[in-house]
Amino acid sequence: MIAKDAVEDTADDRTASGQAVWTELVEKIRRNDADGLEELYRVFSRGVRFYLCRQLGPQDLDDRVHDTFIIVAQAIQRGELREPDRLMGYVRTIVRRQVAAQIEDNVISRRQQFDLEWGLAVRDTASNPEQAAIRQENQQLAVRVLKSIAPRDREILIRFYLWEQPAEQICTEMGLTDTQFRLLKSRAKARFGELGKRKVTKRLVPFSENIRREIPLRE
Amino acid sequence: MQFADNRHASDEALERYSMSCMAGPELAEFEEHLLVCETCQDRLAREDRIRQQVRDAGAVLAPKRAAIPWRSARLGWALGLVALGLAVFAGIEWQSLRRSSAPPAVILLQTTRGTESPTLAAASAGKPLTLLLDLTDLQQFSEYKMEIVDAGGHPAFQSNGSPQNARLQATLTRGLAAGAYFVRVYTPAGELLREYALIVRG
Repeated sequence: MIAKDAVEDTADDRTASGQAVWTELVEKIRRNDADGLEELYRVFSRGVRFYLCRQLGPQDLDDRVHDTFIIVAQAIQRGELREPDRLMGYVRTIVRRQVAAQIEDNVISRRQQFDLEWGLAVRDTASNPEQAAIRQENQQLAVRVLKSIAPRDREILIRFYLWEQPAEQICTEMGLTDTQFRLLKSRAKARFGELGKRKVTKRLVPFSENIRREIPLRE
Repeated sequence: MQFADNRHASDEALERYSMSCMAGPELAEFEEHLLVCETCQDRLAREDRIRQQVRDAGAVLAPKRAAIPWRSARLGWALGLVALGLAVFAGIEWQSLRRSSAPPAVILLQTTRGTESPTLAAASAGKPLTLLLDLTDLQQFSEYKMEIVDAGGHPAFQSNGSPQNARLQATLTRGLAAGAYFVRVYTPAGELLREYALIVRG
């Protein structure tokens, strides 16, 4: 069952139904049913990809997702998943092990590089000119968006995201109730996202118009 | 497959997860849900993006806010400089005085996440430094060992500490020399748990 404070429950019997679905899927995979394997891949590939990408970045992502799928499928077929209704928990454990193993590999390879040649020890962490330009442009855009929202909304976002102040402290120092804080934060985030999109769109339009002017359309 | 379990994470839960402030059974439940819920994956990606953008932009805007009272208090600066001059005159090593009195820069070290190139934690050389190590998802102990090694793998700092709110804190009163460092967290038995990169700029 998912913790109530983490996930909003909309029906009492949904968890039980979800567990039944997992049990059925696990049973198909145990029978080496191709449909079951396909279903497992379809169900988890996006989520596993999202999780791994968020933790480790996009490098070798396809291989990692594939490895995870193979590990889970083989473990189920070997009967190692004793509680089929806990399939999601099992997949999570496998994915977390993949992440931990990758970090461990990075640490080991970095140590080995130190031993081989000192010059290899530290990679150049500076961005290349293109990355630096993109990063700078994104930052400037974010600054403009943040500047353009109401001062109180801006302060809430900065306190919450940059200074990581707890809600209680923000409420006390800004004289807000808990409900006001949540509403203002929600509004500020929506406004920030909306303005960001608008500014990006605005910048793209002149570019496309220039192209149109330079390359006359054939009638 | 049509999922019967189509609940979604609350905004607060997404924020806490994005900020690595979720732990224990709640974290497990949340991540299990995230693995199968595309809506929450998209919402989390958006939350991560907003958080990163506000942090990037806020880092530019916020210091200006903090600097305003200081600019208006020039007298305070003048007095401070006089006091500093007296200290030098009295033969006190003003470098060490400055190091001990200046508030330490707080650096939060987190594991790399996201699709974009990570921004490495950076500090200024020779200035007091407080490191906050995010221990989310690590095996829990009452105490951890922490070690900082330089680019050559030579130890630069070691300490033991107890975590608070899934974070381990260490203060280096004299800071570090410019260079690349790796901050490592070990179990009390000395088993390596996590490593963070830290750049100290001159």
